Amino acid sequence: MKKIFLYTIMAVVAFTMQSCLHDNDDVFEQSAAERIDAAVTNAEEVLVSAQNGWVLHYYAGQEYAYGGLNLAMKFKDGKVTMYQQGAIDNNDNYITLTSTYKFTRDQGPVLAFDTYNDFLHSWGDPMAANAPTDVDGWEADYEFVVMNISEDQNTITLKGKKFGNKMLMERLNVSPEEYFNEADVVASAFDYYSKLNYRKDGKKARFMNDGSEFTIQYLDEEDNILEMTVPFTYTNNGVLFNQPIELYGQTISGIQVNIETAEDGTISVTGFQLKDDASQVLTEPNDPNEIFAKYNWYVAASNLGTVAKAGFEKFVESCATNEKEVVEYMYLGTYTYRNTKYYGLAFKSGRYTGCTTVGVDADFADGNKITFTPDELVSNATWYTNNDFYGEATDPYFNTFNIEYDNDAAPTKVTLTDVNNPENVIILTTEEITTPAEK
Amino acid sequence: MKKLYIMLLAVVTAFSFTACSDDDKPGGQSIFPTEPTTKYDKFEQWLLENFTYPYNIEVLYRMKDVEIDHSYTLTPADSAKCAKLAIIVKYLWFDAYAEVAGSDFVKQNVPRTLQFIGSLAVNNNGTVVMGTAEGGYKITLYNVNNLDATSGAYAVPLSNYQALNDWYFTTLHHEFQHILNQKKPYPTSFDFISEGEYKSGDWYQYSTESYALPHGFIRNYAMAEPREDYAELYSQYLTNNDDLWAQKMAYAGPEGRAIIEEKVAHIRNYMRDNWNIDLDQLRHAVQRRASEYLSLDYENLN
Repeated sequence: MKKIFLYTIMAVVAFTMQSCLHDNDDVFEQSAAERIDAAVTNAEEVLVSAQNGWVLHYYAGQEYAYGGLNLAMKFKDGKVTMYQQGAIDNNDNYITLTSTYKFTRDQGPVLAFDTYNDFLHSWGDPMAANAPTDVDGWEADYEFVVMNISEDQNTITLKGKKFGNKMLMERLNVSPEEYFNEADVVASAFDYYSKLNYRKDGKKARFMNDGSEFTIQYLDEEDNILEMTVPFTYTNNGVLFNQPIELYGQTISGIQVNIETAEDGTISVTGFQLKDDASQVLTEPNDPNEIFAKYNWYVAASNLGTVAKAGFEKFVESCATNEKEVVEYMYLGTYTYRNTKYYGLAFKSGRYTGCTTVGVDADFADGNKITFTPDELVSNATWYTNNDFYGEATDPYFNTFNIEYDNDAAPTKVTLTDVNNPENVIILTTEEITTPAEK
Repeated sequence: MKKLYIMLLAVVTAFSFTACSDDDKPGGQSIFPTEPTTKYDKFEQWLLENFTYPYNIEVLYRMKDVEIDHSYTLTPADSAKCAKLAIIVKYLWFDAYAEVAGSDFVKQNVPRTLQFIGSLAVNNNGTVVMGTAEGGYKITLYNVNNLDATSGAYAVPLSNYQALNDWYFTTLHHEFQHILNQKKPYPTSFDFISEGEYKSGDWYQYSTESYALPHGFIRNYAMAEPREDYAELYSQYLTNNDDLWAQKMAYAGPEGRAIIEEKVAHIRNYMRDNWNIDLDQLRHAVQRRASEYLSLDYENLN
């Protein structure tokens, strides 16, 4: 009997303890439903408030696999009018397409473009032209969770509901047409300067642009070269990465370009810097091995070490005895044949020219190192290789060298020293040398 | 001792009553908006007047993520194409049933929701879904954005009645027959006509012309299972004009044709006995409307 009472009391106590678990104080002043309602109302007000609309840096593909493009959107009365960068009609006017949008409430406020708009939905069509997947088109979203609206209401972070890419929407201060025209100029600047160097506290990296993504080379502690790629879109003042990257502890979300337009309309690029840190400039690559490609480098017999000299003389002699010709010049640089430009070791013997094309591998880790490799024989190079030992004249160049200029800024002379054979030293000059065998 | 326990119990119980007397008031504001927020545009107003009010149907042309099949990657329908499709569907389908069976029949039996999807729904085996019906309340039509397109493998030119049938109307009649069957099951004697010939999921590996028709199926998909056979034959019989039907019967040959006609007779009886609909009268109405629909105004909503 006693036990029963004890158990009863224990049971009652136990129930008593449970009964208040639901009595938590509210963390928020409003209920979840009220808060999501407020969020939706706010998001919609912000969207509609932009007179010039918004630019959406739009990405397709799981993990941004298929790159980004720019769409502009104006929101009004449940309708959205879209522009796509570059989509112009025959009169060079931007094409606009109008469809509907709505906000729904599921994972927070969701912005859904719920009727077809070719600029947006064509990517998501399962049968989209040239689509990389069988049934998912370009893996492109058209319903977005509103993740964040910035304090100043100038940027909105969206996240694709199905494929999960995060994308940025920026309030436009100019018309979409004007923004896209500016972005086109920016694109041509980045196209021209497709390689940019980053230097900070002895650390170095190189940004290489292929038009839709940057490949960034950088070094680890042991100077091993590492690479990362980051897709981007153009803005009216630079490029914006799909997501910020980390480089040597610095967060980088994009690159800005400074462009000046002269009175006569000439556009000039005056510099590049990080979007997140204007003091961190990016410059054109200027490693010794990068400077090398800008000049034609001439050979003179007296400038060649024993290794290169022996091959060169054999070639000159054969031209004299076999072909009754004088070698007029030999240089490492650009050679044009039938309207095609080649880079390589070119020569002229009598009235015949030819070129052994050369692959150049500039060492990113050690900017003073350069490697040349033979590629193909162009024009008369085949004849002179088969009959006159041109191959022996060029062979000594196909090695890895240390580079040294007489003057880094405006070099007239470079000394190449074979890293594996100190006997193989080649000095080349920018000054044009004729009849090199005698010089 | 016993008393002590009882008192203890009483005390504990008493305390337990007070513990939860906090603010358990019913919540303040409703979570649903109380102000009417919907503004109808011209097309939506037209849908209300032509579908919702007369037939008690919602036309879901704006994509609503809770209504779509998430196993497919889909795109929304173009609103201009939806307007055209709605005009044709009303004329060729709803009005045809209303003409023959009366508007009450339509109101009572057609699905409550008609959903338009812009893209195709593509299966992993490469086949495409032409339409779906869910539990009698919703029919979904795909490939709406190819309506009035002039080129491409899935184009549905407005003037091409056969393409309209292939993409939209056979689906509508087919799914509607499923709904009717769910409300009043057809006699199971139908299932025995082609018993043992059904191919379930492998149907698409057979040709309609060289295999399905000679075996007494109107289309390869009809070989999936008896109820699909039933719905597909019904929809093809209604939508095929005389020439097309004759062509198919030529492929079928005497044996196939006899089986198909036995099945049509079965459906004819079912429609008459259960729904008081004369199948051939309905077919006649559908065919007459098919010869007239091109003269409708597709540029304005009237």
